[in-house]
Amino acid sequence: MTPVLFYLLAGILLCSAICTVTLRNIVHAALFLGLALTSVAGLFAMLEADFLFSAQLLIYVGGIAVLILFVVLLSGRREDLHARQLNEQWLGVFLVCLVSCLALWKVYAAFSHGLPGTSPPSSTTQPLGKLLLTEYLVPFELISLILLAALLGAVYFTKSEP
Amino acid sequence: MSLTLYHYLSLGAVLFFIGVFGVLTRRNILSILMSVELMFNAANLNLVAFNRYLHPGPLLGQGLVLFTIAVAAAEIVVGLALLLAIYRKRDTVYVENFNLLKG
Amino acid sequence: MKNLLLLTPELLLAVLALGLLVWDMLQKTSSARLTLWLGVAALTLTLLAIVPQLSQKLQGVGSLWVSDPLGNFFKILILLATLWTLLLSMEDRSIPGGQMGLYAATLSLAALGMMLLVSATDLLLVFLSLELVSICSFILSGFNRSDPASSEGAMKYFLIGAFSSAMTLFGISLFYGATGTTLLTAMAPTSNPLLLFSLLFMLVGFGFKVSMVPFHFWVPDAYQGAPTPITAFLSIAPKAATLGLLLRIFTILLPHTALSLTMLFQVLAIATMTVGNLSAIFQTNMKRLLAYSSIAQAGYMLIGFVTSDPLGQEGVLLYAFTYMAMNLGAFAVAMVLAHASLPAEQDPYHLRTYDGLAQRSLGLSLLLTLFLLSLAGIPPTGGFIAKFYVFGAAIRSGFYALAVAGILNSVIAAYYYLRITYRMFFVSPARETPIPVGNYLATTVAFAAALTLAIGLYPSPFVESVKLSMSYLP
Repeated sequence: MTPVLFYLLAGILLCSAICTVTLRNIVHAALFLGLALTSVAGLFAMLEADFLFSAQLLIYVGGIAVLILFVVLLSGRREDLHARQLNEQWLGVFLVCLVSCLALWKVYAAFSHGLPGTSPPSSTTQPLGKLLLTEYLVPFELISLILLAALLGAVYFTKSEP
Repeated sequence: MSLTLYHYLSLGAVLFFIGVFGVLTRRNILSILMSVELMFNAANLNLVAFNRYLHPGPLLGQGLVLFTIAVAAAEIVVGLALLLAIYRKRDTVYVENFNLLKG
Repeated sequence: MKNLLLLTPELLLAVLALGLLVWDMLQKTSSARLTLWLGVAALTLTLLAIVPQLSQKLQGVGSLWVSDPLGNFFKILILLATLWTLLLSMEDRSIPGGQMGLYAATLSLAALGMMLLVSATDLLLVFLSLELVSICSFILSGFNRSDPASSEGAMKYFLIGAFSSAMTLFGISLFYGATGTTLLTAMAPTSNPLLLFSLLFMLVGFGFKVSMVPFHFWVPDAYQGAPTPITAFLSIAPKAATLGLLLRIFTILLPHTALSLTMLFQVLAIATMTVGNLSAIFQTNMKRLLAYSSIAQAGYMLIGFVTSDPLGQEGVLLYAFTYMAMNLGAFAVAMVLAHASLPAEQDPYHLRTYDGLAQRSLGLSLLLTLFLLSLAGIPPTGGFIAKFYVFGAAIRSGFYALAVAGILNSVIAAYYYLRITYRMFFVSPARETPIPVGNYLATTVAFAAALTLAIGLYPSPFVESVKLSMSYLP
């Protein structure tokens, strides 16, 4: 059962990722990005990361993908839907990516023997919360500053000029 | 065949390089941003998979993913705001049209 | 989470940056000067907070960070650079006056990120600080809303920056897989290929910030489009901070493992120097020329990474400090001339504004010559001492090809630097009007010139303090 589920999710993920980077219609590409992010959430659930599953859905799919879709719709024009979307160097880049991916697979091959997955904690929310407030307190506060800086930038760039 | 770490890692690798391909070849800035999101997600998948299979005790990998989700959100917010500012002035979102600065 | 008090300067700066924002919010009428002076006061307070940490007692290892002389050196450099950027901004017209609070706060947040970057020993903290610096830099480089070139440069910077952040994150995920933790000190003596790949991916991400070739493509456009004080800031501070981080990772902790990236750093150093210098020859815009020159200067500093011995590391520190002075001075003089040009000229930074400068203002032309000589590495300036140190370290460790490449590059660089000097002294000017110099620009130029000459003529105190700074924990 579990391998079937994995292959299903992996298939959806890879197909929607390929669609995101190759489709001409940018609205469709954005929607496929949402689908890809959802399947990543499903993979998180398979890896027994329950808090991350919900966080991914809420933030990535519900926030980031929707935001991208907003901007796509705000800044699109009709002729964009059918224009060529890949630049001239796509073949070279494709070959480089292929070679690098195969190299990385070789490095990963050391993990290809079946590892017995040890039993995970029942729920990850509380341990994660504890982690955030004890050991990783400084990064936690730093994240709030990063979000503040991003907000300032967003407000500044979208202000209408005097 | 049972699931091993290798399955998740190779999936992450393929996703990452799909993202790299998108960043380097797409003309529309929004497509480049979407490809960067794919790259971030590939790294997140790696982290959670390593945490689950190789280092299962402390939830370090998952904590890291929480932080990187927030960072990705912040970064894309700034990028989209900048893009909107440019679009309002120049009415284009294609990279090759940005040639005011040459040399 | 132990030893949080080691981070007192950073905490102080965070609170002061937020205070700047609140101040800006409560202001009814905007007073740009006052806000900038408040920013200067905030940074000065933070500098003073670092002073107690210079003594041995207040240094130590925290859970994710460390406070040691190496970090303190870079923190002082970063704060000085940010301070002078604020002073330069007081007279820059491309920054909207009503937004000074936002400007000062973003600059302070960037400085905070950089301070955390050089004292971090955990990859999570490294990644987050890098992101804070990047986001603030994107905002600052696009700050000039009225100039479309500014937004364009910021967009190019952002795209390449986001790409490299994702690369760095992938590298961090591989590091976590190889070692089970994100603490940099966990690099045990192994030659795990996963660790090697993770370091390569991370090097891509950091290399972008240091403007290593081939990750330098954002530099000319972002530098040219940004308001000039921000260009000066970007060319000094993030580069120095990332060099500090790279020192920690690749020269201090990496030798614990069985991996060696010497060949890679050699290639990168030579490529960076050469591409930077060769591209600078063809530039006609001063900001773009200084941008390519800063790429080449980063290449010289990378030579210090190849050797991995204390001499090379000290060379990097000395070069970073001298580079701060030279670049600050060069950009300040460029700003003075840009302000003096008539509004009708479309490019106030074009090289033809430097024609005949000697006849219009002898002092400015002499000072600019000093900075250009220092950038080229000609005695008796500080740049010569710094280059001497770095090349000397390379020769002493047996990397003769590297030293030869460095010297050849310095010769090429001298050509385009001195070509400006030739234009200043031997070409007649278009106009004979005198050049007004604002007070803040004048003090910045004076300070930079004094520092450059001081390092060149009396290098011993600087070399001594660099040697002292080269002790680190853990």
